[in-house]
Amino acid sequence: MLKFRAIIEETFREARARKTLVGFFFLSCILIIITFFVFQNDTVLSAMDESAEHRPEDMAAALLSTTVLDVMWMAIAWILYVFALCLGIFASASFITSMMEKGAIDLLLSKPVPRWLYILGRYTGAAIIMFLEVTFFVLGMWVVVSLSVGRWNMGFPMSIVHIMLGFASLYSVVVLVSVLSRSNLLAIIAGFGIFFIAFLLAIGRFGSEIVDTGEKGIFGYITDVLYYVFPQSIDMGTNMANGIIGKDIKWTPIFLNLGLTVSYLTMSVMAFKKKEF
Amino acid sequence: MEFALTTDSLVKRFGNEATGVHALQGVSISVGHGEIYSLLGPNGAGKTTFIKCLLGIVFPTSGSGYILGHPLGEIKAKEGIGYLPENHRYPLHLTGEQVLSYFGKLSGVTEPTLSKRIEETLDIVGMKDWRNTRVRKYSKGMMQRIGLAQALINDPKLIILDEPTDGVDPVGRKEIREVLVRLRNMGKTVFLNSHLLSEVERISDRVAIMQSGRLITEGTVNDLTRTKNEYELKVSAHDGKSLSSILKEAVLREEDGQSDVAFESLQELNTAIDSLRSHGILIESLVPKRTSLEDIFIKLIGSAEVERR
Repeated sequence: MLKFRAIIEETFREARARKTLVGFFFLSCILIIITFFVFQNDTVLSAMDESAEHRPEDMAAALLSTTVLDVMWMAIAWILYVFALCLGIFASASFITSMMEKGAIDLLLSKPVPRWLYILGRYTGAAIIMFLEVTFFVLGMWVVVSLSVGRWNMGFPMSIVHIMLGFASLYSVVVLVSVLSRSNLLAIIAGFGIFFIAFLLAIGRFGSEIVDTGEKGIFGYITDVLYYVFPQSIDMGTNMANGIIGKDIKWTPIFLNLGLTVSYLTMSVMAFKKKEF
Repeated sequence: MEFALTTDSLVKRFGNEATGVHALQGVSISVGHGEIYSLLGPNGAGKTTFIKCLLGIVFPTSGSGYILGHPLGEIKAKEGIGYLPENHRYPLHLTGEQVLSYFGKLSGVTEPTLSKRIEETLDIVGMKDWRNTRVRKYSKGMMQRIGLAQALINDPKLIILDEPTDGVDPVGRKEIREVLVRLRNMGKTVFLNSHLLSEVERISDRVAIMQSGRLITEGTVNDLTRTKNEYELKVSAHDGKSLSSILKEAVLREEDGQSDVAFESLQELNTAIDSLRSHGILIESLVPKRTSLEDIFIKLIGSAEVERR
């Protein structure tokens, strides 16, 4: 436990030195302040007020059977989700590669610490940092918007859990790419790339559900395989949105995501254990 | 005899058998407890690869070894080791004290022992005044010192040092040498990898020379630097015959009463002494002739290179 804690502490110190913590906090503050001013605008407030309980005839909102206020909460949550995941990946990708730099890794591997503990310690450190940042960001946004519109969405704080689940799986892929390539840039590209692919896959699956031709076709099978191989980042976001409007969340993507996170981390540990420096 | 470190036919190949690099070609070494053992060799000889094999940073292709009674690479084996790598890089955002605390914890040192060891090791390497300065501001020499402190933080039984005096000024080098000798006197085993032959010669109990992944010689510094059957002979001033006329071919060089002489056997040596005395020549000293480790190193590496070609 002493060694595990030492690795986590060092991840925190590194994040502080790289201004990751301050940077995330600063950007979160800016977004919260901008949101605060947007919601001080009379036009915005009256629109929220008038239509708060009104179900619009707008196509998208009607499809979701939600109020304008719900759509607003979901929009904010989605912005937070994408922002937090992208910034989180960008800020924490270097935690693994910095550890594997020439001159640093020799020293670490000479210590009586199993290799898997370094990966797990760094991963846990990054996840705790992300949790603190996301908690501040989500709760800050929640308080500002709720005070402005005069209504408190009790499902909104649960976004923290969904964002963290999304981050956990996406970051596990970043860790694997970092271990295999030792390249910070490649790890970041992989993280963003997977996020983008997850978005395309979600669109593809959504499209095939709407236009159900009865036959799957090769594209359908490929989409299915990729869906189960890559983290379900978009499904996590959809679950988050459902939670906000009080709909039931889907458990399959959550368990699938957790399974994939464990699988990617296991692969990272196995690759790291076999790697020579 | 139980050894602090042994390897048996350690082989390390990078790549496939036909086209790969054979970094180690069957290295067998035994280092006893409480000795300073130095591994020498030109760049690319395989010294660092050997150390990395010992620590499990790279994995041997074949062969085996034990450190403090545990197989190479095992966590248990690493518990008793302190290691200072060549070109080490500490997290630049840490202070000297934080470096020691971090690596101390990774070595399993708990409080209050850790605080005590930090004080002791900072004192040993003379870095107490710089403990709260970030390592990014350290000079190369200071980096080496804090690196040495880091290697000693867990009070290891075996200390493996890769070029410990690299970038250190002469005064600092002397201090590091003294630290190493002090460690040996405390019963620690020191495995040293250095290219500064004069330093190695001064402090090492045993030396091995490595070339192209093979050990080409091993022995005590005395054994290696002694020139077989050659002696330095100093005699008092005399008016009689020259040494050459008395000892004939045995004299290799003669200059101002000091000569280099060579004898096939001890019997011949004693006969020569008798002969000198019978001519009234007084012997001031007669000592086995030594060459420097550097001369031996260059000679051996040269011959190995010729043999390899």
